[in-house]
Amino acid sequence: MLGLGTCLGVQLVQAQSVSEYGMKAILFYRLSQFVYWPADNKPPTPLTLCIVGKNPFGNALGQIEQSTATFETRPPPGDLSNCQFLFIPRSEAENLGTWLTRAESRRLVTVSDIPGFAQLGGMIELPLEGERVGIVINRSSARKSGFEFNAQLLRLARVIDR
Amino acid sequence: MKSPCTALAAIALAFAASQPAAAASDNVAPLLPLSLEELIATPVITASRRQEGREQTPAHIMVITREQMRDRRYKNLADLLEDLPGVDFQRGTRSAQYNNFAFQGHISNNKLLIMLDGVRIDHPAGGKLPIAENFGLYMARQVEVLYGPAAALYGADAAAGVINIITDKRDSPGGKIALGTGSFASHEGNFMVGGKLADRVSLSVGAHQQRSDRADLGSYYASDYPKVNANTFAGATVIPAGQRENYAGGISSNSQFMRLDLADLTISFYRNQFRSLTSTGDPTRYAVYDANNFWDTTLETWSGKYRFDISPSLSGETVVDYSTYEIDPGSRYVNVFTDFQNHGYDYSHARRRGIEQSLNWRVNDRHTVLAGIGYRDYFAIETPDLPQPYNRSASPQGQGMYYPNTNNTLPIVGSEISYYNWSGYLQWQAQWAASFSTMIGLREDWYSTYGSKLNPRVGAVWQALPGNYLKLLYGEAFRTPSAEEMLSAFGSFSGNQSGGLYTGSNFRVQNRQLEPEKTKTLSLTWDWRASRDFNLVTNLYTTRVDDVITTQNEAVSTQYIPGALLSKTTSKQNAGQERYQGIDIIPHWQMHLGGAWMADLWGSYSYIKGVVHDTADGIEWDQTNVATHKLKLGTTFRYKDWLTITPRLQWIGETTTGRKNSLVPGERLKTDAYAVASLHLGMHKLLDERLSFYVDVYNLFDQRYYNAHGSSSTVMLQVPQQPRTLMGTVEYRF
Repeated sequence: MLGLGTCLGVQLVQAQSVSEYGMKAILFYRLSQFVYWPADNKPPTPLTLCIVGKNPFGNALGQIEQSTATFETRPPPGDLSNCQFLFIPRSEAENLGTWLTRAESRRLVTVSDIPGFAQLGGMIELPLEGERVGIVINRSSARKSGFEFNAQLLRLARVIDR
Repeated sequence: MKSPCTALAAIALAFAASQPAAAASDNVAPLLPLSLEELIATPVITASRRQEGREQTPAHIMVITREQMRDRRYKNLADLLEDLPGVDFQRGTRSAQYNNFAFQGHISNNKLLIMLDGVRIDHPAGGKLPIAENFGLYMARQVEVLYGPAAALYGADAAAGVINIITDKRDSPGGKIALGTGSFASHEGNFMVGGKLADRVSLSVGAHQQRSDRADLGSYYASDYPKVNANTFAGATVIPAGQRENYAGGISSNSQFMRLDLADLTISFYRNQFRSLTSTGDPTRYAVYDANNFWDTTLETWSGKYRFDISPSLSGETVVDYSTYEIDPGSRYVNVFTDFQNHGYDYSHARRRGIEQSLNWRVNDRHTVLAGIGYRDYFAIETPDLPQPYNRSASPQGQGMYYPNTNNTLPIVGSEISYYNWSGYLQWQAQWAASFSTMIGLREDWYSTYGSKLNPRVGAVWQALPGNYLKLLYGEAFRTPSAEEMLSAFGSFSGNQSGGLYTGSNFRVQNRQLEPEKTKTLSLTWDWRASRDFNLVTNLYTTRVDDVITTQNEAVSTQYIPGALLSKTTSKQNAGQERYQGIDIIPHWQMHLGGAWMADLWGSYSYIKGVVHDTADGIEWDQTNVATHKLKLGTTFRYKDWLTITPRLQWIGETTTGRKNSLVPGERLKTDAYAVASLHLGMHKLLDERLSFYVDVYNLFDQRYYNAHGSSSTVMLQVPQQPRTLMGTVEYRF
């Protein structure tokens, strides 16, 4: 018996063929639409999505930027003050504490695929779960900076509330 | 055995001629229209596996996510099938299968593969099954439905399509438990728990249990269930009208699921059981409605799947499986064919075991080759009607039973059959340009019973404009005759004799010479993603089935019972041709209603025209059990993640029954059109966000309506359906 997973089944999926970081780039961009900004701070337009360290997305974010024109990317930023979303790639795992500390001092949403990122105080983690990219949210970390998440995102994500 | 060597050589030459493509950059723009829900359901390419998208397969595919199943209340495969485009679904009409359905014109489940994580979990020898509450979806992460032939990859029976239920590998501890109760003594419950046992070892287990008396249709549809004399074919009254029983129609089901992941090895177990009454769909003058006259089916599948990488571009998977099917020996008919006596016990058993090795070679960024070889063997037992329950410890030939009314002189002999098949397949997928891809596949199956079956599948996908995908697919498939079709033989003697022989009429005779049905399908699909929130799929198809297996009168009765003289016998024969043409139009629209309210609208309109050419009378008859027009609509209104309100509406046009209209050659008698609505409420994130509460109202406006039947002159032409039914369910996640 042949499984769909190896044959036709590989075709029985929702969307087109995409790499792990292609998908993470899409999710990094789309997540920005599911975050409620603090009441006293109107979200800037366009949003600025920043990547620190080595950019793992290739030109994927550039493609999205061209297609949507709703945000700008800055890989890597010299200064975090213009960023609203910050992606911390695995290449920065050793500097994670430093980046989280720097992020705390500014109002920005932290996103990463470093294993355990949400448990360690990051806001949104994008782990590879089998063949799919999951979403883990640390709601407490986000609330500390005044961010809240759309209910649809909360429904689809694994939520940590501590 | 035919060899596919020529085709393989052609494919190899084509590879040699093709230029190696430069490494393509990741094109993510086509993913932008997808919803967040769709994105996280999308597999990605990892170092070891290549996943392909809806845009890259020429087949029409639907993916139903866990959230959609939850909100639309698809609790089992029957609920899901009933709401799918192109599916005619008749509930509670059949004595053994219970439900009946047509999938783009293909009648019944035996032309459709049902899989769990890619392993077939339906009938091991290709027979008919109850697809009902037994196939619970409590373990499903998503269900993928492929329309069209897939025999070039899966072999026998993948004629109409493939349904694959996908489960999760559980990496963190947790689970859920749900309990529900409702009208007509309906009770159901399920649970799933799982977690990581050690590094790279995780386990999930789950189960469901369900039972329902269902409505007393004798009260709701009194004229359809009159208390009349139970007379034999010869006219003798066995049960006078005044002593007739009350209506009964209860069902029950259960299932168990286990998945153990040990690094790259996955071991799975799945078992389900379903019990309904054999009087289902029969008029009271022909059957006794009694809870002891049941049909009880059990399916069980074990599988092991091992994945490995040979090189960065070459991966493999080895799958072994072992599957059984059994009818409880207590299953029995008490009806006009048994002279309303308790000697209509039935027994059936089937077993399949197999191994398949597949390889996935990613030649370069544009070319992928899939190949595999496999072996399966089969064993099945069928019996005629038995005066006592089948004795599992004795052989089919050694049951020591005799046909009733023959003074213990005519022994009843059960039958068994063993056969095997080898298979090999090759599929080449090529991405010639960003907007154009092709697929060519070929599979050879060699059966010890039927010889060689070669099935091709070719298709192309063209992105004509941004967000517009055109898919063309041609495929051939075959359906092997089931053991039941080949071996089933039944009938009863009245005790009359002629020339020293017991005379019997209307017996079913075995036919071991049956050949597989052959299917050819051409489909064209337009997948239009107008925006992130709106998707419209149009699927046009035409199918031809040759050598259709039907029940035919024998011109000369086969005398298969020594000491008996049989007349007016029937047998299964390859004696027909079917043709269906149809279109399914499937919109899906998500919208923001204002504030925290969202709406998810889905639906389908389906048209089908099908004919059956019956070689017995040379006339083209309407296809049975299909409605030419069907409209299915639903909307989930969602307030944050706290409340979901899902109304669903189905309008099903006049549906053909199995009975021919004697006044108009070519036409069948039809049931009336009907509209039926349901309403599903869900309150979520109660009690520390762990509790959900559901209220389901089926047949919201309490309509009286019928589903088509009429497969023979001794069954109802149309079967009354359930009145308004309520269910309440509590689900707790931990």
